[in-house]
Amino acid sequence: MSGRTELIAAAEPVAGQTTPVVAADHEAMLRSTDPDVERNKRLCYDMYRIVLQAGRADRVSDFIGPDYIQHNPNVVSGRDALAAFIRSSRPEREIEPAIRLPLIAIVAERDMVQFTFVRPERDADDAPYHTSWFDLFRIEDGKIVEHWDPALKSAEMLKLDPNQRRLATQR
Amino acid sequence: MTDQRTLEERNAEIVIAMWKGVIYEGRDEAVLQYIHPDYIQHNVNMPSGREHILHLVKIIRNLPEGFTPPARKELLRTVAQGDYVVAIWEQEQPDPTRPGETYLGHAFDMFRLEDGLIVEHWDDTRKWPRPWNEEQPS
Repeated sequence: MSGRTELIAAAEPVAGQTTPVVAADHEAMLRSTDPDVERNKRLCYDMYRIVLQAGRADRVSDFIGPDYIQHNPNVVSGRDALAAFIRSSRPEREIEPAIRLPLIAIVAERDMVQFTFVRPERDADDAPYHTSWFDLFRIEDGKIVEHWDPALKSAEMLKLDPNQRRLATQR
Repeated sequence: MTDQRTLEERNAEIVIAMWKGVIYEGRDEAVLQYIHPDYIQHNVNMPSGREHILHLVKIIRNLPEGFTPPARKELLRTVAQGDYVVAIWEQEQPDPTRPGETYLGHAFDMFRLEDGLIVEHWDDTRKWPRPWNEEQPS
């Protein structure tokens, strides 16, 4: 298992708030001394890059099991439902070699892979602040079969493309 | 006796013991035992520094009117690797689309540990109207 992780400043802090940080090296985070864990991490990383980031709904079955269990309360379970959600919430984009959202950590253990991101938000007065976003995946037989995130139930979330939540300095 | 547990098992146990002692029981000793003095806080409602966690436990022991502690959620599982531990929680939430009904939502906390102490924390918390360090015990 990897030991300490190098974190670097991701953006200028909002006055009075903690500086958001991201991982310095994605490749270092993807490596593991356990080949199954490394394969699981790369499967989830590539799914994020190709399906969620590049909007390639046609590639969903390369990564996602048919009986995919979805705990995000705005999206129903099933591989086909995920493909439909991707088509309705974001355009297709070029496939890039790296995740472009501000990624803080990939934490993997046995059949679980967890991604943590910096999430820029705005408060009730439209003032900017940073919080964190989490995606947890369970893998079975080389496919992602279950997903959890901190989404609250809301109509707005159905149309949200998280790729629009990149940090200004990362565009 | 040698400690047979992995680094990840030890770190996950530290995080769970911290949560019990600090968030459920509001004990100063648990803050001092598990939290690094140079604690870095990414939750927007609290500044960095262990002294603010010591203030939080005072609030937890004597809840101000209208303040809901951030803690009454069930641990689903932890995922740990190297110096990180992620805790995943589930909690019944009021359903905005079906009045009177609830749904199961999830909340996340990520901790970075150094030498058995929690030194950095991230969670999915939204910004509250007032920072927690400005709340005063009742």
